[in-house]
Amino acid sequence: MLSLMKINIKLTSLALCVLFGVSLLPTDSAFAQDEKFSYGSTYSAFGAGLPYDVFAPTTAGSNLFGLTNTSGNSANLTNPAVLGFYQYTSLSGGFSYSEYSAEVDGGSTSYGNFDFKPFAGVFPILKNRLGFSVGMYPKTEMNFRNTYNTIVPGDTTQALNELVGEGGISAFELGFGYRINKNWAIGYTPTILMGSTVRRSTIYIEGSRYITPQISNTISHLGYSQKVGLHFQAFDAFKEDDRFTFGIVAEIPLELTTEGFEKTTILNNNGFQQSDEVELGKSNVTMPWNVKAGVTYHVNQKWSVGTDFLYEPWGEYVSSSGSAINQYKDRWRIGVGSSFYPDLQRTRTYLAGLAYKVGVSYDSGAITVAGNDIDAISVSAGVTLPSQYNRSAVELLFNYERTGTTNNSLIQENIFTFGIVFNVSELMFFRRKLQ
Amino acid sequence: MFLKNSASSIVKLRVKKPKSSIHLLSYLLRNQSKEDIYLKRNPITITAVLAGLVLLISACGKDSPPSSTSIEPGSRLVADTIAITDIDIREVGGYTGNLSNVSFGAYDDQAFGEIEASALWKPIFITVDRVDTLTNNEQFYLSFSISSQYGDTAGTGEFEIYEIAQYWRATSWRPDSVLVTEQNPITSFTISQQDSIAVPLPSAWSDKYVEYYRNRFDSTLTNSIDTLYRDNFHGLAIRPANNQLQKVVAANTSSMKMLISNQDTTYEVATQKTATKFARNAEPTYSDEGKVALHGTYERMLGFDFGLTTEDFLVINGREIPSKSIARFEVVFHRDTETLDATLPQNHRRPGNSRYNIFSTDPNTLFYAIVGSPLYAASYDEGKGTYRLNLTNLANSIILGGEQTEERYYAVPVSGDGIIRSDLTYLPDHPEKFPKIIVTYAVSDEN
Repeated sequence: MLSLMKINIKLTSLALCVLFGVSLLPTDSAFAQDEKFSYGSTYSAFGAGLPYDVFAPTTAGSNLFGLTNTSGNSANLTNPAVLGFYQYTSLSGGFSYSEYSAEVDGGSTSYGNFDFKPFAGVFPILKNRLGFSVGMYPKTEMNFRNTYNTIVPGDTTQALNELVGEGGISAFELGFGYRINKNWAIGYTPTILMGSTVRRSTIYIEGSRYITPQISNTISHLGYSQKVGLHFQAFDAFKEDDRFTFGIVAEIPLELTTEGFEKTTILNNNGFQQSDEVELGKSNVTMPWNVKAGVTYHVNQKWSVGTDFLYEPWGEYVSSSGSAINQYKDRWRIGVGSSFYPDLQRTRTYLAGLAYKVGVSYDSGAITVAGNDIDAISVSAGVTLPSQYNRSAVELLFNYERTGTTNNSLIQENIFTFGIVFNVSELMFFRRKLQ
Repeated sequence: MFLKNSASSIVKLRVKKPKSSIHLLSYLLRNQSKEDIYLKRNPITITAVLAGLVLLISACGKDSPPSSTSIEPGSRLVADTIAITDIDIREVGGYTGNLSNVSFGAYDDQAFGEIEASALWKPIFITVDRVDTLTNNEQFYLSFSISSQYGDTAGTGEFEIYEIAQYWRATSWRPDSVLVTEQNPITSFTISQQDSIAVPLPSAWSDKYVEYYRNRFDSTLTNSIDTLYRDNFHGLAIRPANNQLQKVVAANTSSMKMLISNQDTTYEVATQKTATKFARNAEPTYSDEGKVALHGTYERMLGFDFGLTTEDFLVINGREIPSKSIARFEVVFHRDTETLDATLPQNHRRPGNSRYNIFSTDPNTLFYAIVGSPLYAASYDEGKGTYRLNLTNLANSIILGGEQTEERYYAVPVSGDGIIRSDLTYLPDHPEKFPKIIVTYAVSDEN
C-alpha cells in the first residue's frame, strides 16, 4: 500500500509540473506559438483575434461549458457559483494539439498548432460552502499566417506579402463562489484582461533590386471585467435519484486601455537590417459582454445529458482605432452533450471505472468575411482516466471542428484536436487533516 | 529524484508486461476483466504515452496555412514618382594622365562635336642589364592592343607619331594641357579593324634611346643618367594625320610597350607614363530641347540633389513619404536614344556607356573628388533606355539611421578609363523623361 501511495505521489508531481510549468509562462505569450511551425485559424486575423471558449475539464468532452458542473473533481472556471461545491483543492491544466486540414479553391494544406489548456485552481475555504479560484486562460487568440501574391506598382516584379499575427488577450481571474443552500449558489469573479496582439506584415520582393520591408503593429491591452454566476439544482426533480441543474453566467467586460506602436524593419540580402519604432499612442478597446446558460439533467448517478447556450455580441467590439471591426458580428453557440460513468464507485475493473463523454455544438461564429459567416460545427468526445486512490484524473479529449467555407476564396478548416488535461484533486493533504 | 523514480517505473512496466505503447493498449483491451496492477498504479502512463505521441506529431514538419485573398493584407506597396528639379551642369575637366587607356585620332560626331585626341607615351629607361648588348641592328616597335574605336570602325584611320619636345608630367596632365612636339612626324601608321598593332619606330629615334642605355655607366656625366633621361627624353605622341576625321582609337596602356627585336630575340620595355590630350569643337547644344550631353572625360557632369530630409517621415523635395519602410529608392535618368541613334552613321560606333558614375561630394571639392572612385553607379537599362541608381540603403540610413548629408551628387558617363565616351540625358524640362526618383515603400493598413 505504501508503494502504491508513493507511485501516486510521483504521478501527481508530474501533473503538478505540467500545471505550474504552464502558469510560469510569460503573460503576453502564454498562448502564443512559434510561428515557424505552429499556426491556428486563419480567421483569427481580425481585431483582437478569435474568442476563446473555456470549458470545465470534465465537460469539455461533452462539448458543454460546464456551467452546471459541481463534481468537485476538477477546477471549473466557467461558473463562479460552482466554487461553493468543492471539498478538496483542485488544480487543472494541460495541452492540446490541433491538426488543421485547410481547403481553399484549388487545393488544401495541413498544418498543426500546439497549445496549452487553461490553468485553473480551486481552493475551498469552507468545504462545500465557500471557495475561491484562480485561473489563467486566453480570452482571445490570434495565431495565423496569410500570404498574398502581388506585383510591385509600376513594375512587373513579383512580390509575396506575408501577414503573420500572434498573441491575444489573456484573462487572469480570481473567483469566489458561495453555496447558499442545498439548491442555490452564487459566484463572482473579477478578471484582469491583458495581453498583446502583434500583426507583422513582410513583403518579399523578387530580385535583388528591392529590400524586404517589414511592418509590425503591436497593440497591448490592459483592463478588467467581471463575471457573476448563479447555480441551481433540484434533487429528485422528475424521479427518484435524478438531479436537475441549471447555471447561468454573465460577463461584463469594460473598456480596455490599449497602447500601440509600429515597428518598421528593413532587411536586405546582405543581412543589412535597420528598424524604427513609432508610438501609436493610447486608446481604448471595448470588449463585448456575454451570457452563458446551461441545464443538465442527471438521469441517475451514472448518466447525464445537458445543453448550454452562449450569446456574445462581438458586433459591439470597438477597436483601438475607435471604430468597429467590420468582420466581427454577434455570436451565439449551442452545445448538447452527455456523459456516462459505468462504474462510479470503481468496484469493478479499472477500465470499467473510466468515464465517457460525447457532445456536439454549433457556433454561429464571431466573424463574417466577404458575406460569409464563419460558423462552426463541432463533435467531441472525452475519456476520464481516474486515479484509483484519490480524486485526481486525466481527461483525454478529442474534437473535430469544421469551420469556414471555400466560397469567395475563403478557407474551410477541418480541425482535429487531441487534448490532455490533468486534474489534481486532494492535493493539499493538510486540508483532509484539518477538516 | 523524481526523474529517476519515473524512469524506474517505466522500466518496470516494460519488463513485466507490455513492451510498447501499442502493446500496452492491446493488453488493456484483452484484459479488461483483470485487475492490472500497472494500470491501477499508473493510469497516467497511458496519458504520458499519448502526450509523447502528440509532441512527436507536433514537432514534425508541417505546411503553412493556405492563403486567402479575402483576408486583407496588413500592408501594401506604393510607388511614388518625384521629379528631381535641383539640377545643375558642371564643366570641370579632369586629369587624363596615366589612365588605363590613351586615346588618339579624330572624329566628327554629329551628336557630340568634332573630337581630336593625341596620346602621349614614354617608355621606361632600362637600368639593368636585361638587354645584354644593343647594337645598331635592333628594330624598335611601339606595340599596344586596342580597347575600342570611336567613329568609322570599318574604315582605315591614319595616324602619325611625333617626338615630344618638352618635359610633361602625367600625374597632372589635363585634356587641355600644352603638348609640344617636333614639327615633323617620325613615322605614321594606319588602323582598320585590328585589335592590336606593333608600329616600327625609326632608328633616328631609337638611337636616342639606345644612347641613354649605352651611357648608363658613364662617370663623366654631370648628371645621373636617370635625371638626363627624365629631363631630356620625352617619348612620343600619337596624333591623327592631317584632315583625318575617321576615328578615335583607345589603346590599353597596360599593353603598351616598346619591343626591341633582333635576329635572336625580342625584348619588352614597359611604359613609364601616358596621357591623353583632346579637344572638342563645334559641339551641338541641346539646352533648348531639354537635354544635356555628358562626357566621361569630366568635360560636363550633371549635379543633382534630392532634398532628402527627415522629420517623422522621409521628405523628398518637400514631399512627405508616409512610411519609414522604403523597399526601393531609385534615381532614374532617361537617355535620348532617338537622337543618339539618328546621329550615328552606319558602320560607325561610339564607345558604349553602360552606367553613370555617381560621385558624392561637396560642390567645392568636386575637382578633387572625381579623381577617386565613384560612390555609386547607375546602371543602364537597355530595354527602358534609362539609367537607374539604387539608393535604397542610403534612404533607409537617412530615415532609420538619422544620417544626413550635405553633399551633392554628380553623374558622369563611365569615367576614369581614358576612353572618350558621352551620353545624352533628358533634363527636368522634358514632360515625361525628366530625371526622377521612384520610391517604393510599404504602408501599413493597420492603423
